[in-house]
Amino acid sequence: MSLPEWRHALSASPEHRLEAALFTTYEPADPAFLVEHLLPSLLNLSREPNEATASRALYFGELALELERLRGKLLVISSGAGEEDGGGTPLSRPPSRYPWLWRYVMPFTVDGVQHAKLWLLHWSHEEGEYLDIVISSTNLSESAFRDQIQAGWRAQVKLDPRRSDTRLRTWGPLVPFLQALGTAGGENAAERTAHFLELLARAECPEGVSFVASVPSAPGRERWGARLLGDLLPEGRGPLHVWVCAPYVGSWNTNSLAAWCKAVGARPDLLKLAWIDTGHPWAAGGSGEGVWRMPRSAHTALVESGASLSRLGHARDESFSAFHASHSQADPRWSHAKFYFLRRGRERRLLVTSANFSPSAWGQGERGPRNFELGVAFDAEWPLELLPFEPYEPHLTSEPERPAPAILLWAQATWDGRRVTLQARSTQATPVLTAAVHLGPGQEPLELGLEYQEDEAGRLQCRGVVRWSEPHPTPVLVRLSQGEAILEVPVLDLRPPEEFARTPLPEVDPKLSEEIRDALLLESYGGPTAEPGRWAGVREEGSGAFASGASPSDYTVPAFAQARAWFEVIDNWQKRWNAQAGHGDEQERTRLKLDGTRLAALFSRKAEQEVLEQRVPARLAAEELRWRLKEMSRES
Amino acid sequence: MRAEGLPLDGRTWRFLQNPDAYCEASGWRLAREPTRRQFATAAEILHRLSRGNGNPVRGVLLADDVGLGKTTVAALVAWVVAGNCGNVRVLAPNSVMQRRWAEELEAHLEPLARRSNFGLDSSRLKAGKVDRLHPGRVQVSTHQRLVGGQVNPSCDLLIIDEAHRAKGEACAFNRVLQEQGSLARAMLILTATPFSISLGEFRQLLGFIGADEAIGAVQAHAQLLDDLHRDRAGRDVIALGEKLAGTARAAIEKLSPYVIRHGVDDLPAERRHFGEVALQPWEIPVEPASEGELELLLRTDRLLRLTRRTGGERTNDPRFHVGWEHLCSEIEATEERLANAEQEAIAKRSHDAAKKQLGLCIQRPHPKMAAVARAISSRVDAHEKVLVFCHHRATALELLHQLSQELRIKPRDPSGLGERKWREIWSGLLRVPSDEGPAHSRWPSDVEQLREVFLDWLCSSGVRAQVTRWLPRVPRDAPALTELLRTTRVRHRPEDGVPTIAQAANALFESLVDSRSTSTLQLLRSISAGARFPGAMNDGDRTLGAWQPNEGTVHPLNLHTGQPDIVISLFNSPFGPDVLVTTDRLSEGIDLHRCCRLLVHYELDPSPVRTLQRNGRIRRVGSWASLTRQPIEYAYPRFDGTRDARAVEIMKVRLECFDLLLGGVPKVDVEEELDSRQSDVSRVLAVAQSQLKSANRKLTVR
Repeated sequence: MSLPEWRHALSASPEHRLEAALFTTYEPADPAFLVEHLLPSLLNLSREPNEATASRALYFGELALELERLRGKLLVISSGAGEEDGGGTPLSRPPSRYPWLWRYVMPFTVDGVQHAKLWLLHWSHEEGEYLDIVISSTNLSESAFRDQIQAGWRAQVKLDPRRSDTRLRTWGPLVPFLQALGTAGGENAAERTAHFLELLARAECPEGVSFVASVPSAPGRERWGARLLGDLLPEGRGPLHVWVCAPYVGSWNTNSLAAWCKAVGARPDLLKLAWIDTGHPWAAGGSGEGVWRMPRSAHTALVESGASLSRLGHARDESFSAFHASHSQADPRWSHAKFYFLRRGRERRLLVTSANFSPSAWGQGERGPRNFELGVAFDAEWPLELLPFEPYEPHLTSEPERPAPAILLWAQATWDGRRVTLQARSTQATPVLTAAVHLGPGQEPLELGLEYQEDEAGRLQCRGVVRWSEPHPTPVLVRLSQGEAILEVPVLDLRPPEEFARTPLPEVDPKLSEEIRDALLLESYGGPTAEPGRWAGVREEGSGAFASGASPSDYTVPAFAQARAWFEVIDNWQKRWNAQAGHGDEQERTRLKLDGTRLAALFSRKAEQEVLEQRVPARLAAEELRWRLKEMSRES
Repeated sequence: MRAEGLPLDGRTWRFLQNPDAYCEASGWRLAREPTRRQFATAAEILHRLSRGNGNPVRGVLLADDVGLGKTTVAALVAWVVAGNCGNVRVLAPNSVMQRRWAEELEAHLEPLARRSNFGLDSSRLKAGKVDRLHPGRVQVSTHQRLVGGQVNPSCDLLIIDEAHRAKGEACAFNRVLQEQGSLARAMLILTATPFSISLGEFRQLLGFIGADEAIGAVQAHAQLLDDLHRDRAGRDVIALGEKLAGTARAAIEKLSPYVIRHGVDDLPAERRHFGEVALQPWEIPVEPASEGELELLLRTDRLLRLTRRTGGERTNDPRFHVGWEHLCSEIEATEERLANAEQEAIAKRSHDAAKKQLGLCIQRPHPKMAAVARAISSRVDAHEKVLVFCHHRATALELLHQLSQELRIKPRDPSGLGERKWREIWSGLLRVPSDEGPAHSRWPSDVEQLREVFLDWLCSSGVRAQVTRWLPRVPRDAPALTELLRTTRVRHRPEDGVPTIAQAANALFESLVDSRSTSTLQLLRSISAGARFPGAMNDGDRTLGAWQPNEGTVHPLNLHTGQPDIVISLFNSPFGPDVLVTTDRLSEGIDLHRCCRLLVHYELDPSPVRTLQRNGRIRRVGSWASLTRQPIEYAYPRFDGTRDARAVEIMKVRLECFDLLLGGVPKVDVEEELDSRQSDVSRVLAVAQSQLKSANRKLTVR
């Protein structure tokens, strides 16, 4: 049996058009994964990244145009400068292959650990609008799809044209979770996540579904994490059994474990952990201690508390499936899935979540969680077959080295087309914090002059501004340095659409950028398919069928065919304008106007051609488009 | 079902083996070459229908090319059947053709009386009668009368002329034939285009003649042709071409007992009798569409799309490409739809811009019309008559107007003899009713009065000016003019067969006052009461139009809207308007070849059948081309840069393929946009061509 094709998990329906998306991930999203896999799939691009220069240029052009349409509506929220518990690996930012991606997709970081894996995908369809809610254990990286087994839940709900608070409330903890996440991401993030809350307010939560979220919070103030887990099943009717399967077990001790059990409402002796023995393939790899990790101290605490461990089978167990029924022995992927099963009497819930079994993820009693986590619970059976551990030994690891607390906690840089503005947060005032704006390879960085201020918690808040109004090159990232500590943040491009549209297409020879943009713009409105070498999509074979000796059986009159093709582009453009009219989406309106203006200019250029059959249709198309633009301006 | 066959005595058509003697008996009115073939064909048909051959067929389909004399063949067959005490019904497509049939049948009475023992006389011919049909009689009626239930198809032999009109299952004529056709014991079906647009339709004609055994093979070929025009990727062009030739051969094999077909190209010995077609078509250079004209066409297309009611209306009407009038009216008509357009403001701007552009363009005549008018003018100046076909009445009207302006003859008489003198001379030259002559019996009682009407016209200033141009010198006095009219051949032609002016005038007069042409007689009588003579050239107008205009349309004086008989007579004479503009109303079964060898397809019907039918109007036995030994010239002017040019190009390809593929060329609406699939089809046809050419010859009589 062949291994499952990991890209299938990314597929989208071709009838649906993406209107907005929010992704949360622990690690900063991998731009290569987004550019080469996730985005082309979700955007239903017609091309694939190809090595041939011309095709490659078209691919990136098509991608950029679609991203331009969705500019400000695609968000990625990841961790800031914190650490993931259990993994113990400080966040690192390898040099990005596609730094321009963040012009289009808005990357936000939160001050703390963002460990939830939530996707909210807003689709339009001829029958209405839909929202996909995906909650899983999957980060935004190729490795997460290709090398790991994940657990996930996906639901699609149809959106009502109108919002209601009653509907919004049906989503339970998901709503405050999103609000908290937005707030933690800063002003711009809060504004944009609010859009997704509005989408939730247009649909009811599917029946039988509950959300369990964790938000970094002060002790005892709110019900997050373990407390929410305990709310899943009603009290009474017997004791609560809790089964856990997660690849990372945190640094529990008997106290913290007892506090967790209390918060959940379960007895420690009814807690069962699915784990691997020392011979399991997942006990190898990683940094030498395996990709699944449980500190010996946590194991001791579990045993002492009366919790039990059961074993996951593997190759040695012959006919036993590796992880679950559809996972073959030969599959080299390891499980990154995290799920919890709760049973009380006949009631049961399966929780699919981002949360490892750790105090940071769940909190411990009065102490709230340290991470943002999100899970979804529904009625389902425990999915794994477990074996007794004897005579094997559980795979255990050393105590994780706690990295030095991060100095640079959070930063966000924005560019409005005039100036780059930085906001940053540090734990300490010294050594001096400096910041520079990077404009891309071969460009001198721009130093940011910073102003500092200490907040109530004794942290250093700083702000800096530097002027930059050139459309090219654009500011890519800001690098902050404070002693040994370094933090790089992408620059959020907040230029108005008119200015943004002047940005050359990424990964495309700047000399061809405008032509390719025109060709793809025409294509996007139903014009001819842009082909390598025929950017403008115009017949290039002489003066038409008669002069060029085209087939005498072909009735097409070149000038008519061309004129109708251009007018069809105009009609499609008008249709989109009419479609957006009811939504009051100012950004979309502006973009469509810009498209119209650009198309009119393109037609005008074509109207300067020598060939009559091309010149006249283009001239008439340009004229009509200008009429329409004028009419729109008059109406608005 | 096995056919019963007609009880014919084989000896009664032996005369068909000796066409020369028959030609002689006709006073060599009939030429030897076509007559031989026509006789052989008639004998073959009689043989196939005859019970005596042991394996008779129920019917025969005679599918000779236009102009080869199918009527003559059928008339001979009809008389032989009648001579064997059979009764025969002929169904002509219309009353004009009914008259022509009567003439044809009557023309054979005298020679047949000499060459056979039938004892035939004119009492055996019942033209236009619908009463009981007695044995030994031939009755001529029309399709319409059969449909109307006035004619009972019961007879020994039913001859259906222009039978392609019975194609199409929904057609009423077809329905009646389906229901009542079996009442005829045998059938002879005449059509030049039996395999026209769809081979599927041909199946119905085969059903009428009992050729059911051939239907399967024809259907197989039809299916393959149909598939040929369907979308299919990666087909093997050569294999498909050969397969097509194979199915065609199989179909022809099965058809051969029932179908007889001669193409003009199969008969080299006869060509001179109906005229050779010029090797090169008559080229009429038309300026390609200018930027302004193209802009107008594109603006109109867009405007109509912005204002159409249902979304399905045509916006690129073929008429837009060949004249201004239809464009004007369509742009005008959008005005009331502007308010309902999705974007009223845009539609209004589009309308205003189109109207403005139209105003600029119509300041000069339509380029194609202007070019065609110039070209025709030069040919008319060289003493030719020109026939012009349009597909639409609106275009024909506009073209007629344009030609009328371009083609003016100065109605002056350089001899200075005056109308009175001319009248005296013509009165002396024109046969008087008391004269003996073959046509005498067909003259109406008021022929004297009608003669005055004709003389008025003949001596009108326009006709006098026309005739004067044919004279070799200006006559000094009346005797000189008389002599010149008596001895000068018409239209500057020196050839022996060409009539003199006086002969031609007498022939025209006879034709006009033929008592069978009721519509012409009626018209002449109304002229004597003050109505206008069609084709009066008093104002120097050398053009005449003939079609039925749309109701409520104002039509010019030079458009004849009544029965076309008088127009046909005039155009077949050297006198009167030099240019006849008409629609496809006159494209079938009408002779227009007696004095014309030039034809302009101003607009094309998408069907190649129609084009062939039109061409056949001037390529017939005894044509002006054969008489004057000049080539027949067809012009397909095209307005480059527009759909009109594409229609011409495509027609060219279709005409090349038509005969080779049993006419299996799909009908294409000129509004339809085709793609490159068609070139693939052309390649398949090219492969099949050579094999199909020889296969079709199996249907000839040898």
